[in-house]
Amino acid sequence: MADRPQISCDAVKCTGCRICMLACSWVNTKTHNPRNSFIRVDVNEKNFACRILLDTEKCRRCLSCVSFCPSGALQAVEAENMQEGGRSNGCTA
Amino acid sequence: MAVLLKALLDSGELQNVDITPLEKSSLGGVGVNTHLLYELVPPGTDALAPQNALIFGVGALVGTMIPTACRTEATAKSPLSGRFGSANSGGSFGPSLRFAGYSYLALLGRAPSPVMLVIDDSGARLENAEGLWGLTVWEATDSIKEQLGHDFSVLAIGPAGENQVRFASIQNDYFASFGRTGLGAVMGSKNVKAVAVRGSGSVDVADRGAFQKIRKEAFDRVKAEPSYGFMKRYGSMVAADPFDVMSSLPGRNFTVGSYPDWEKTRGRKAFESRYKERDVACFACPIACAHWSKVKEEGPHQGLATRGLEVTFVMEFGAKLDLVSIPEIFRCVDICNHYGMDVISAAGSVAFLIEAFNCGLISAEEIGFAPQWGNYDSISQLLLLIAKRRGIGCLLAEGVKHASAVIPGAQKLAMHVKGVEIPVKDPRAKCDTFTFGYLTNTRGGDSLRTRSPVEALLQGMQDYKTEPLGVDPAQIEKLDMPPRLKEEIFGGPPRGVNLPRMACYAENLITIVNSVGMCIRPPVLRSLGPDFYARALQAVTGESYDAESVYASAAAIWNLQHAFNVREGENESDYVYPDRFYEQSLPGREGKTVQPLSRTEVAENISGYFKARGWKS
Repeated sequence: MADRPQISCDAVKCTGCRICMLACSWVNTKTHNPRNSFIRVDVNEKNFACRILLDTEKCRRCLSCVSFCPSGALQAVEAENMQEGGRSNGCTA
Repeated sequence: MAVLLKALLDSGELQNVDITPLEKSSLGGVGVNTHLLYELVPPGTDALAPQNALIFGVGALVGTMIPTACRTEATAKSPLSGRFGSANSGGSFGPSLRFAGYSYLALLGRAPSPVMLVIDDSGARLENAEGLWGLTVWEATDSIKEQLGHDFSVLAIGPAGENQVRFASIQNDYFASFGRTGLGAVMGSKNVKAVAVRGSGSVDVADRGAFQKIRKEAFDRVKAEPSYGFMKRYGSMVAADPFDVMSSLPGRNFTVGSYPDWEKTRGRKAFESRYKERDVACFACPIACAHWSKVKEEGPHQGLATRGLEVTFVMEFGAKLDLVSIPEIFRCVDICNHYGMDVISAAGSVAFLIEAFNCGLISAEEIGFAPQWGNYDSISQLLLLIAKRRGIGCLLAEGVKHASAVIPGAQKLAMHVKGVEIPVKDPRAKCDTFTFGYLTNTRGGDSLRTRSPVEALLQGMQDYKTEPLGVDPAQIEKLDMPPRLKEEIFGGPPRGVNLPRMACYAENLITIVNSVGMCIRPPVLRSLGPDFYARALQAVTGESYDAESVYASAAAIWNLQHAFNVREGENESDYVYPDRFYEQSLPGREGKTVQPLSRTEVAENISGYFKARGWKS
């Protein structure tokens, strides 16, 4: 898995749709359950600020979340570029 | 399994009922709500009496990855119209309810004192909400989230709902609303301040292979629809400029169809360039048609931040009340959100009063001040008086139909159909499916249940019975619509849109959308139809559906809503616009004059609609 792209996330671009959570849950359990997702988006409904939390221990980098992300907030990044272009703007590993 | 949670508010008893067979036979969402309302609320019931029922329904697709499948339908007898009342809202409440194991809620009776319904993994319970009574929606929602957790989704009423303003809304996590037909007043009459839900269960699908295919198809079709990019960029504000170009603004209570400075001051680019900051989505929605927006310019509203400008907001406060400043429009919407009032009926009631004052039918002494078009201070003051039911606000809180019966000579200024204030667009300048829906909508004067999937934003009517095609004729072939209906509605080859028949089709289509729990934004409405919804329902529920059976179920739901209204005394004579639309011309763009509508032609369209529905006149 070390050679697979990593996931870069930008919470400023995130619209809070949480499709990534459903996509991850589907890959993991073939059901829809945000609790079974390895990526979590917390949306503050009062100002729509988003916080993205990625469980890097459990994430298998299948990139299903990236492929469904409609806003470009989640991007696949080659591992060697991750330090510079990696998790930023409110994203927590 | 579809579970209904019945809250018997008088006793505090809560019951779980498996209604899976009803969901199957009535599609779910608004379909289930309609059946429950018809059965639970006897004819002649006072909408604000305990015998009314307030029902929330979440369709079978909600909680899944199908794009936009997040929506909740709320239904009750309307205290504004005395007829079928219903409203729809997005956000994350619907999915949260499904993750908690429920699809439907019915609030029945009246709690002896204010309560809040709380649903989470430990079950459902009624909690004392006396400490929340009197708080605004913002204050109450803050308090509930602080107490229970910020991951709870909260529906709450504000002072307008508590005071039983007949067009009070139920707010959904602050900014989203169940706006129309006064359901917030029904919730207030039941002494229910809020419903809070959080769940950690799963929403499963019956056929995983079929679901994966239909999910991909849905995303592909929605994203490929030409309106997708515009909706992402402007949201519903995409329609703000065309309404002015067509001279169809509801300016100054439907007396002005266009403003010379419209696009510059209140148009979509004015909004985008000066206020829009970032895109905001409902749960499971790739479109993100809402936009977090902020007032940066110096002035009394500097720093105000809100969930964007909907075309409804700019039409109601910008056009109907002639507020030129977008920050002032934001602020008026803010008042409605905090106090819990429907924007359309609130603006309509204020517009009615200003016109009555200008016509000398009511004095500044009776009002307490002299209200003016475009004057933020007087307009905002009237909104607050309505929400608090103080002074003249107590009369306006009854809606324009009732208020106009109290002010001598004011009935011709009351712009409503079946007691519900009409929204956003003038049918004299744009006689189309959208504005015809003001007459045919089972919830009264409103457009949102009658949107054509081939709507032509920038073309006027060909004749009363035919609307121009809003798409290339070749697109008609691709449209997801039963072939027999295509020929009936568009002709063969497609030439135009038969308006009464399209009204039926659009209503049935939107009934399907509101049943399964998806959104009616154009990228969805234009790209998906009965065949898609049948296959999606089949994949998710495992039950057997096809396009014709789904369409027939939707027609049956609409017929039952109509039957509810007939039971309450409605007949064909109620299907009329306010006199103004038949008797007065409308000053339009660049000196153009828009002619009034023909009563005969409109009545013939209604007859055609009744015939298409199979209803007796």
